[in-house]
Amino acid sequence: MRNRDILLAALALFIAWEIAALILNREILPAPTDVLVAFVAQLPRGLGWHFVVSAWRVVASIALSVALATPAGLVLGQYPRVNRFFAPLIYLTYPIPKIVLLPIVILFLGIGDASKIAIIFLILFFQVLVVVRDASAALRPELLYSVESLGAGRRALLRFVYLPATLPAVLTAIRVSIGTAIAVLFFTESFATNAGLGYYVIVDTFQRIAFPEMYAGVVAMSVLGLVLYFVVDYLERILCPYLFVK
Amino acid sequence: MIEIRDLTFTYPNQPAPLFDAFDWRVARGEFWSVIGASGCGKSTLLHLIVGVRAASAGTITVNGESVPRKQNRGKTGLVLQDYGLLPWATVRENVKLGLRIREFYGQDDRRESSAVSGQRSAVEFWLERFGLAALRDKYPAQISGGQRQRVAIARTLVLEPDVLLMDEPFSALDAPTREDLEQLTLDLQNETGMTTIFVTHNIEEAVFLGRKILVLDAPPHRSPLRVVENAGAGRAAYRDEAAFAEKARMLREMLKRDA
Repeated sequence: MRNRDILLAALALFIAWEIAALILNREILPAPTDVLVAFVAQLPRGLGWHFVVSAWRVVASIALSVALATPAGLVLGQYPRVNRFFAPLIYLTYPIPKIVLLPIVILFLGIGDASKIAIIFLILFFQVLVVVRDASAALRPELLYSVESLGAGRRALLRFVYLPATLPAVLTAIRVSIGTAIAVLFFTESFATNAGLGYYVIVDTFQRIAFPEMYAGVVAMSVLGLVLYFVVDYLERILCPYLFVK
Repeated sequence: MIEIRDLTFTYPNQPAPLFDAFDWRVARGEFWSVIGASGCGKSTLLHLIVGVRAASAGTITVNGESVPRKQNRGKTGLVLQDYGLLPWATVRENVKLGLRIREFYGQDDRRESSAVSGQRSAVEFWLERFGLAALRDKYPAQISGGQRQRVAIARTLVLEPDVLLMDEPFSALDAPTREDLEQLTLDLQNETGMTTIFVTHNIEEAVFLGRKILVLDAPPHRSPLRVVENAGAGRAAYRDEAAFAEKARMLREMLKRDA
């Protein structure tokens, strides 16, 4: 998949939308050209700020979950006994849709950034935890023996084997969770707040019936997801070049 | 050089021990083959000597130091059938791994990291010696099995080990590559005089390489050991001599009786 193909796909979507808007000819579906104009006009007038607020919340959640779930997953993957103790707990809590915990999180952390970051953190934490645990447990003992025979103790194994071995799994976990993370963010920003793209779309523009602006907000939300997706792809290329050789 | 006394080892959840009052002595510079059926504990024996597994009783000393050797990181080289290379590291990075681990622990030994021959670093020396220089930036997935095993051997030699343990290193390779690497192993041993233990289930390989052959039957293994003297080994021409065929036939008989 080349950049040119992605650009062409974006163009195709744009044209399909333009045609749909022409056919429907109602103000609830503005043409993408109008939305683009609104997008550019609104960026300095709040939209840009809301974008930054939302981006900060997602990125902070990702960083926090990777920082905490990676070591936890490494411990579970390396110590079968610890894993046997926690596995039932993870098994039980993993499938719970974390969004239903939102009222409880809000009760404890209030309605500010903390509760929004915490709820996304909960979603990502379990994803990353499980893949890191499984990736590190799946390392063949022969690989570990041979690196140990070169003089590696526990710390060197962590640095030279476990971390690089689990890195692709962490990136994949982030990539598959980005969609959910942004969906949940959208929901948490749609009430009891005055910043973020969710607020901009649902509370601000939707209620003002400012359709091109509302659509601009929807586009901004999509762009946020896309940019994060691209960043993860880029990181994978930089950090795991061996996955891309032929 | 390698001295095993009264070794006892039992796998968890196994009723019978694999080794029971097992004694073995390998003198400095000797080249031993160890042969036996699959699952007889050949690999475990090497793991015990490297120190990645611990004996239940008895002592193992290498160069007079008891195993695991705390202060002597990477001095016992281990080469495995499936190479044990890091898939995310290039050929050069893999060969350098042992040195990087030393640096990581702050044991950056000048003698090791600076020069083996002339100004070339040990890494470059072994890359070239093993014909890997052109592949230095490739990843393990991009090179052949024989090349991967060369990388794995180079990686241990960079650390100038005093013992080299090889666990069926060439079993997965095709016949020409295998003979090629057997010859390389012989050459290395002749050049360096490094104490070498070569585990295999292939009779011809055991006879071609080991000047002494330890024959393991069904566990538990205990003394006295069955050792076949094989003084003719160590030369390329040995493979074509009558004495070679005779030794192989003898070994085959011994193993058949066990089964």
